[in-house]
Amino acid sequence: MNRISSFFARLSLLLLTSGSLLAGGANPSTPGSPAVASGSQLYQQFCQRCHGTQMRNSGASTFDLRQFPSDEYERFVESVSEGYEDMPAHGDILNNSEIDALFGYMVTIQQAQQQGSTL
Amino acid sequence: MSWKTLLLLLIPALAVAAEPAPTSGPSSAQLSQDHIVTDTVTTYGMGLGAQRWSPLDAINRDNVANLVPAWTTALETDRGQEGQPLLYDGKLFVVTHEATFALDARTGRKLWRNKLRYNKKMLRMVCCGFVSRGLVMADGKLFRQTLDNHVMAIDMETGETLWKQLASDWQEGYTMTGTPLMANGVLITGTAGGDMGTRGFLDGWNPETGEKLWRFWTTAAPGEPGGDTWEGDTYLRGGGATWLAGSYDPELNLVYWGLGNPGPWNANMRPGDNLYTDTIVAMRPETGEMVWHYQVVPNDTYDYDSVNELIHATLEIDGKPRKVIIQANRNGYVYVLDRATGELLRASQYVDKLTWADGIDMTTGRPILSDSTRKNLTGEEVTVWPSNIGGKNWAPASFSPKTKLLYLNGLEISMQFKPVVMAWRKGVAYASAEFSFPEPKPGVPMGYLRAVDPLTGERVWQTPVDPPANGGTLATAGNLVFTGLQTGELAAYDMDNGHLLWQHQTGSGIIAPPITYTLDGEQYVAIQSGIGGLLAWFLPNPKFAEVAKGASITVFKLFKPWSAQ
Repeated sequence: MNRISSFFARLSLLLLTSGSLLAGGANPSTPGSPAVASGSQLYQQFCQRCHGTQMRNSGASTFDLRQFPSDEYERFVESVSEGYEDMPAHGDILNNSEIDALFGYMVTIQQAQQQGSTL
Repeated sequence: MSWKTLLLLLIPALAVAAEPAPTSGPSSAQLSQDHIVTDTVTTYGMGLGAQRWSPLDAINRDNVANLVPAWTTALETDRGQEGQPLLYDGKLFVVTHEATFALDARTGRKLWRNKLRYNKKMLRMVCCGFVSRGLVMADGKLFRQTLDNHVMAIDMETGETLWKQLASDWQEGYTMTGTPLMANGVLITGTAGGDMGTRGFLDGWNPETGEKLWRFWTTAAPGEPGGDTWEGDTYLRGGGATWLAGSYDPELNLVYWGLGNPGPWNANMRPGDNLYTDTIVAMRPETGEMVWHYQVVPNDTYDYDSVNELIHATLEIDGKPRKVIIQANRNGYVYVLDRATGELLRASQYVDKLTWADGIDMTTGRPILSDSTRKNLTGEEVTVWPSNIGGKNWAPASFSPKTKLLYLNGLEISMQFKPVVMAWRKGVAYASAEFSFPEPKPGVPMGYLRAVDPLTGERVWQTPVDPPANGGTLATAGNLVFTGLQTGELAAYDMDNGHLLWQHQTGSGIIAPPITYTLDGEQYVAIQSGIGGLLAWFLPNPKFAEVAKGASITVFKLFKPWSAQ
């Protein structure tokens, strides 16, 4: 990812996770918002069969995404795009905005689970 | 001697020399005796009828406490091990998802390895663990399937690849994790990928040349029998995978195969019965012609694959001995069908909790959907028992012809399930459903080793196993039931009551079926070990994370002092 697209990705991340910066005051990271719904659908299509439903798995064979540091966005993008250890690369079938949506979904799920709720 | 005379003498000799060298390895006749012969294991299921029963009793409940490992060999991967080894001519043949091994059965020494290499992107198509379940052997060759959809023949002596054919394209969502079947000289293979928006199939191959003989599509196209059970082109993405092995009756010359769930899971997206998904079929091995079928769940919405093993048995039903096949289905019912005609003889609940149906209509053979399922089909989320992991998952059961009981690793797991609408996208999961599994609760087992009467579903005994086991079982005339646990122990239970008699820690989790055999007059038990597979990926049970990865095979025999060996 070049610097410019990285910048815009970070900006979109900020918008996704801050929850108060979009015009109209809508919070895209709240459950049921379009951004989370998009990330949720992508997660079910691409990630769920290894990382578990709603990111809950045993951590025995695949990474427990509930433990992924929410401030390591670039690491997330690199792992999804290029693969990491046993994880296959997905950069040829997921575009930047889809990977951003997945990151937003992951952070939202983490926040929801910390608060003791599910989406 | 004239040159003509010399030529006449030489021609027969030349003709003999030109004939191919005699092949070693089991003949078709030997394969059909595998359930009786104890010094070889030549078939997946320890017999073409998949009973996983052994008449051996040298290891029995009186001495099993003296069972000790004879040797262990590493299998050079940390992926899950669901493979069943074969034994022939003093060699164990072992399969992993990325290699085939021949091991000296006396020492574990590696004789050869046939290594596979995959495009790493292909691995993202695998739904439920990077595994391979087994091999077929015949006439000096081993046959296997690869994760990237090749069917291949390997020389049993040298490990060289003899032929390798591509069956389907992984980029469309297909993978292969199953075991082929050899039936009347035809090699038959299935496919995984039914939840990836694909169309399932079975293929028949010439084992000598690799020539494809036929293909049987498991979803019927317009104009074909059953084609009117699909709307539009939904059959093209309709699932019906064939990812577990079939069985074969040489007397009837019928192959039996369990066909998988329809896709996507949301039944509202594909109105109709969706033949031949969730169906048990009987077919001719030479042509793939279907002789009879029984659809277990028409228009299934809960991913209740009907791929589980089809066990052959003779059971007394209504006062008459009947040749039957038995299937403990994922949906929580155990089915008994006439092996020649497909007539449904019994369908009985074998799990404690079942909410999706109120029973099976024995006149039509169709399930009676519960109010809960009808509500769910309107889009409302419900709790479903059993979950789509099933009342029993892939792990093959065993059957004792003495007790007439099944021995299986049963599951008591629910799921939250809500059908949704998602668009098909090539090569990605196509479930169209939101689902999740519960966290484990202390004191509430999610799994039981069960002795089940196939005619009634009665749990004659059950022993809690937590985390639940997902490897196969082995029943023996020593009154023992062996199974592996995901925490790593190979365990032996008393066949009469399910009491634990012995266990040994193999180093990683077990999700494979054990086998037993004799070698040099001693009885052995062999098991592959290696955590992985569906439950370790999907169940949010932290105990799985405490199990070390690392594949191996260990064989056991009764203890003898070192000086006596």
